[in-house]
Amino acid sequence: MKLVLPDYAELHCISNFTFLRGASHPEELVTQAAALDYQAVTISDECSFAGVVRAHMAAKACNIKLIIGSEFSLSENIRLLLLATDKKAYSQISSLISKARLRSPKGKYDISLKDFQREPAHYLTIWLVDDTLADEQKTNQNIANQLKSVFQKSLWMGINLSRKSHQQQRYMQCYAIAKQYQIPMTACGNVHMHMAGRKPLQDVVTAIRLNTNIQKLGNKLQVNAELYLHSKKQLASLYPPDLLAETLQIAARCQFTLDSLNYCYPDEIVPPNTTATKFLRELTEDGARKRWPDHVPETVTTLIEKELKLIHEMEYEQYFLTVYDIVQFARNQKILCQGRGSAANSAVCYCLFITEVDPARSQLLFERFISKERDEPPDIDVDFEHERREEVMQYIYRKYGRERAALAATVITYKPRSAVRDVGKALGLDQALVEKLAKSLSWWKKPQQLDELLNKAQVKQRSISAQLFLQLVDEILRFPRHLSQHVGGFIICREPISTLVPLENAAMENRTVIQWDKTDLESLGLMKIDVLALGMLSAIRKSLGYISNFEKNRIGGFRLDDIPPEDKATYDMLCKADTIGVFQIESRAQMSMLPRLRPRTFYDLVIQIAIIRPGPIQGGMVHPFLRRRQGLESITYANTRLESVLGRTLGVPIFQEQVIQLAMVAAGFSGGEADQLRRAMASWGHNGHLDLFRDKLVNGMLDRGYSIDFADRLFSQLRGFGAYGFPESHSASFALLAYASSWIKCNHPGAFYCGLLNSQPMGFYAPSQLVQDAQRHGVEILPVCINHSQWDHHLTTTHTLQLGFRLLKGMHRKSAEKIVTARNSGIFTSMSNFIQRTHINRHEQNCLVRSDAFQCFNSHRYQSQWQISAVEESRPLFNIENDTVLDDHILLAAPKETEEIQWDYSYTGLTLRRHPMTLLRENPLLRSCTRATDLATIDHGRIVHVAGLVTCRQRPGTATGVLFITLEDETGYCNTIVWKNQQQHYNQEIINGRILSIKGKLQRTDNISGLDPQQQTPVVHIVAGFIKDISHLIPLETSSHDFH
Amino acid sequence: MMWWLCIRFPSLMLDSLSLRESTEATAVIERQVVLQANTTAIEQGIQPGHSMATALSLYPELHAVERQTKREKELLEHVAVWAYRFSPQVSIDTELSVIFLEIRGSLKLFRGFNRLFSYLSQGIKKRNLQFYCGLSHNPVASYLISYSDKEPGYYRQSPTKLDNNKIQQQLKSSPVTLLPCSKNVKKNLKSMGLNHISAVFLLPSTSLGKRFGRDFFELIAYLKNEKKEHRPLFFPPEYFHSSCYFTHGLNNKQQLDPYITQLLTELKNHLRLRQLINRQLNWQLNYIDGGSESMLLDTSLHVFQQQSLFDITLLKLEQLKLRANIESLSLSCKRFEKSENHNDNLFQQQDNTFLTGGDSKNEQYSIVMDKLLSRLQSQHCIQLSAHNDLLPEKAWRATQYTDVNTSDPLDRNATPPRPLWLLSKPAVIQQHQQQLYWQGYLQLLQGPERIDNQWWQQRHARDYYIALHSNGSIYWIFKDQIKRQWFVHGLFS
Repeated sequence: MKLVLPDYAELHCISNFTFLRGASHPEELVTQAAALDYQAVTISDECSFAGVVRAHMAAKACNIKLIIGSEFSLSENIRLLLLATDKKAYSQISSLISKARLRSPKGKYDISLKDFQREPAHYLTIWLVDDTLADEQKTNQNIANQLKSVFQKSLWMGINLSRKSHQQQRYMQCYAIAKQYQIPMTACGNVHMHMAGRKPLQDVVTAIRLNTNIQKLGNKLQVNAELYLHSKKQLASLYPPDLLAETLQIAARCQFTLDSLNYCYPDEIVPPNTTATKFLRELTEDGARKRWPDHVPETVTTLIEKELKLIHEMEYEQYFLTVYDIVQFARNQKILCQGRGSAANSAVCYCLFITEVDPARSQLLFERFISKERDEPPDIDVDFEHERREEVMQYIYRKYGRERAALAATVITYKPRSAVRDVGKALGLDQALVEKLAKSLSWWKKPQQLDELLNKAQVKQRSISAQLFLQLVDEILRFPRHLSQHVGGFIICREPISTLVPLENAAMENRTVIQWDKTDLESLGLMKIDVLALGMLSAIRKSLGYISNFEKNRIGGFRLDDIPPEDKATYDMLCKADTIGVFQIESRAQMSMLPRLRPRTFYDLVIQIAIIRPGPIQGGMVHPFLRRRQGLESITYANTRLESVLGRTLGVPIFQEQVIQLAMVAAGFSGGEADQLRRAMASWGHNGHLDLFRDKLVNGMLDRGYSIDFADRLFSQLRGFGAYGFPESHSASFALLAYASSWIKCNHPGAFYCGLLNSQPMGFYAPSQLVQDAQRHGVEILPVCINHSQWDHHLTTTHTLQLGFRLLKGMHRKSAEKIVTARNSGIFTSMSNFIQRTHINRHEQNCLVRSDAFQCFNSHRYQSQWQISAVEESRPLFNIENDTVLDDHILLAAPKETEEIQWDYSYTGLTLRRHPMTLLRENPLLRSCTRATDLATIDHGRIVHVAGLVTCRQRPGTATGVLFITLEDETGYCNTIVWKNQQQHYNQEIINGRILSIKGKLQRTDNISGLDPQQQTPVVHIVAGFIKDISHLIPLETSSHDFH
Repeated sequence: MMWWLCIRFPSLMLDSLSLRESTEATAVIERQVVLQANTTAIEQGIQPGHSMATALSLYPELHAVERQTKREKELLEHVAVWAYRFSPQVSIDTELSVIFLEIRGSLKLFRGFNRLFSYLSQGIKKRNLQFYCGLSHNPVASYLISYSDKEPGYYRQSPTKLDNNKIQQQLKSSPVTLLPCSKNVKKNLKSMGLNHISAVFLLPSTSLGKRFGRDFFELIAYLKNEKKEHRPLFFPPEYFHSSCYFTHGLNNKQQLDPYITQLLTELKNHLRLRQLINRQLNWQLNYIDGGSESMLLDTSLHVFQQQSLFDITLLKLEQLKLRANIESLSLSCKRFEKSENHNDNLFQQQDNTFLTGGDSKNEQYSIVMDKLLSRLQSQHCIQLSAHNDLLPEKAWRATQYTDVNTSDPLDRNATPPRPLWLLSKPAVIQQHQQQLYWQGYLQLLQGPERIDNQWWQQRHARDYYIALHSNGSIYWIFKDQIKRQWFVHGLFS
């Protein structure tokens, strides 16, 4: 006779979002429950809803009912499981989680029975008795009595029979209490993993959580591997039928689904007596008139109408108005901001002054931003000045209150290095060995090598096989580790957020985050606003301020809008790759592309920014584009449809959306498929979804007569674009800032460098390189001085920059301000006068002395240090009634020039004296060296000898192991290429060297054929053949931008 | 004037771990920073101060070992104990990794510096330690001179006089970075351009003191020989040792009894003075023919009981067969513990008990155990101790007897009840006509309790049951889920 299997709903599963307890992803639990033909499955992470959205999406995909719940350990040592029956119950549980989490530090929670008594419960409560049942029957009766009085008829007793010792006796104990207090009993799996095979990983995460190793866990390990989703047959043998049947009764009462969450925008942004639709139209039309004061172009009016119609249909008005409100605040506060990303495709955003990409000047795809077919909420990213973003965030909190505005979370997951470290530690491997394994992952694909490493280690580690280690590392990869705060993704609601999603404390003080991340919000169609920080906006705003100071006649000061478009001198500068400090196009790779691409228009700049990305580089699109641009290759298209997609980039796909359009045009992808492809591209690197499209794409293109070569190139572009490609709108937004910063550099170099230096740390270059570049552009730099400097650097004339105290290592802003305040009543006349009037601490006095800030008293830094050290810190005033106390007539020898330079670098990171390389030129070792500026005059293929301070060591992922080293001398920079075999040979010199001497073959690319040689800026590289570390000649504390 | 010899161990971190001469590139690290590297590692470009990340970039195969300061200290102390034979004034500085010896007073005994230095350096070389020496009038100067490239003998003017000029010359040329003072002071000196001690010597002491504090003021005074440096001296650890010598030799064991009593009484007095209790008795019988015999007795008494110790000694002595006449008997004791602070009884009942407190039952147990230990040897006395493990056979283990409780602290709630008697090895159960059979039929009463663990070594997956034997006994049996086989593991009654 065939056995009739019972139906079952699992009411108690914790996923890996109960960090370091659960050993399966929520999706794995849901999928497995569906495979086992359960009627429903619950995700009930401990005081968390962090995994429920993923589970919800998986449940929809495999068509199983998902119950949402949460498990709590109460301070009274009672474990409860709450299940959401309806929206009200869900909100109640969410609020309880928030309450418990917000009163505790990050990652912890605190809740007691009285928290459940505040309002009548809509949720169902299950008392989890398996581990917490006390030995004393009286205590259990007490608990049962209390719980019954709080939860009354919505209370169950959850029984877990996982083959532990004396299970029968425990069951009988539970049965007696349940009967006495009339609490119905139900089966509860206490599921920690979707399959029993995850037990090793479950033990490993326990060891990580308890900060020990598995060998030492003893009784803290799960005694067996029973906490998994059992088959119905197994369940039938484990539980009495009534307990299984009760799960179905409970599941039937839980009708809540995340789809029923209806997110409401805040409504205070719409003024009374109007509607959001009307208000948005008014603002847009008003903005359009401001953007085009003479006449709004016809094309733009059509675009606006089309967009407003779609926005109204999708009911996105409040979202636009919310972003508008935030941007308005920033503008009123004179905080520079600019929208980017797909929002730059919208004419409405341009009219609302959210973005700056002129729709009349570009071909933007509004569908890339909002699409009815895609039915996804729009995503507007707005960059604010990095130093003032906090003001914007505080405004949001003020306006909507902390209950209605919160930051999205970022789920920090295990990456290969952290996985190796934690698993290694949990398995009890030696710490030094674990570090070694984590540092170089070359063994990853070679288990044999790992075996050797483990065998070479201590005896105790021999028992851990390489295979086991690899398996565990592989399993734990992508496991969530903890929640962190998103860089700036805000969610704002009409109702308190905690009723929608739980809130918890972030590590940063006074910051709260919701328990969902960006993907979760997208999945549920909730809108978020990215309030991001961008250093270049701070720099530009400051530079504009300095320009305004010197242009007193201009009313309202010099604004970003005042920068004239398409300035010839600016493009001339860009063609010469003179872009140190310029936004986005200052890297070595960008600088070597500029003289080849020779941007002459804004759109060239848009391409320049997008082309030096792994996508186009890996797809081999850079050289074809350059050849076509230089007229060395004809621009042809297989058909007119391709021309429409690729026409603006000379037939070469450069932007992300072009690749998507190509998939549709050339490979026959439908709109829906193209959209799936776009999603897969965005998540490439996280999963292998993209590879699923390969055959379809390649075959589709072959069927339509394209070459296999073209198809393969397109696919590798897709891969590159996934994580690193730029859409056109994004590139256009960045190009605006690149152009603005270039224009300022070209026309107001003093203001440019001052703004940039005052916004550090940011960008690619250290202050030392920026200061040298400023000097090369005719800006006079004055050293830090106690009688002239302020905290920030400032301009004394348009071309004279006085360095500020912010440059000094170890100096604090408050002390600098004390100095400036004291100086307001007259300059300092002597060191004792300075000490008497400022009262700054010894450490900062030393900072000033060592950075030579007292040179105005004609005292060298050694003498100043001698004098200032005579003051006893504990009683400074007692000691310096007059200068004689400081001056005991001892004269110390003045520092030599090399010593001065060393101190300059040590305490300010730069020197205004002679460049160290100028001093070294006299050394016989460097007599044959060529200066960086002279390299341009040397023929291709010649052997040259160069030397300089190492400012950058880079091994880009796109360059197959090639290392680029940039050397700085007194005339400029020299780029060297080190091939793999040379890297091995000169490993020590490359890693340890601060000053290198390199001999090698000069590679020269004269870019545009037919162009006047005078206008050419050749791209020069030295291919290193011999490298010598000469750091010992002048020991300097220089900084280098390494291995990014 | 004193002569201080500094022995500096520049590779103490590596030497204490016997890794300096390893052919494998090895570095001693602390907080992920390289502190010392052996020659092979240095050849690969690894230097002290490198982060682990840099070191591994330079040489991925680097063997990195955590620093063990305790081992370093032990090694220094070990050498210091040995060095005690050269001078009664020995001082240790673990931060500088040096030992200082005042040798002026020992020159006569060793017939001159050269002989003394030769013995000393040979002894250190035998220990396979890397070292440098410096000689001066005070310890700190000798430390700085240990960095010079000259042998210490170079700094002597005559057999009894040091060459002050040479010493001062060497000190002046020393960089200030070598000075044993705080990093801050060194940084300040450098920031005044005072890179060598010569520049510091030129400055008035009062000005220096004002700027760098009293310690630095004194340091310079020591170096200039203006002040005598006092360092805490090292004394070898105290232990008890006493002997009785028999001019004509003793030829039977009974004759030893009064001497054993005498030595135990001396020990009692020694312990009373130091408020200690011994944990060991090391008896040594020296034969007239030059041979000797040792008897090491571990004791677990918490109070000194002379009679018990006497009895135990005799028990041990019984097992010994004398080879020749005994020339001397010595008793030494190196293992001590703080004694429990009990006062002497006002009216002492037993002369040989100076501490009479404590639980008499426990003491009796200790006496019995000590007697058993001396008769059976400690390796034959075992005890059971609890062990934190989920596998039943590993939850208890037999360990060599000690009076210290070695059991793991157990969480009573986490430890399930287990049968009193666990078989040392599970016995295979047969199946007769689908019934379990082991010396009779077994009937399952309760279970299963599943244990599935130890996957990282050898996985054990068992379902345990309580079963009734046909003879009425209650057994604990399990089915091995991997071998698919039944076993008896324990007996409840």
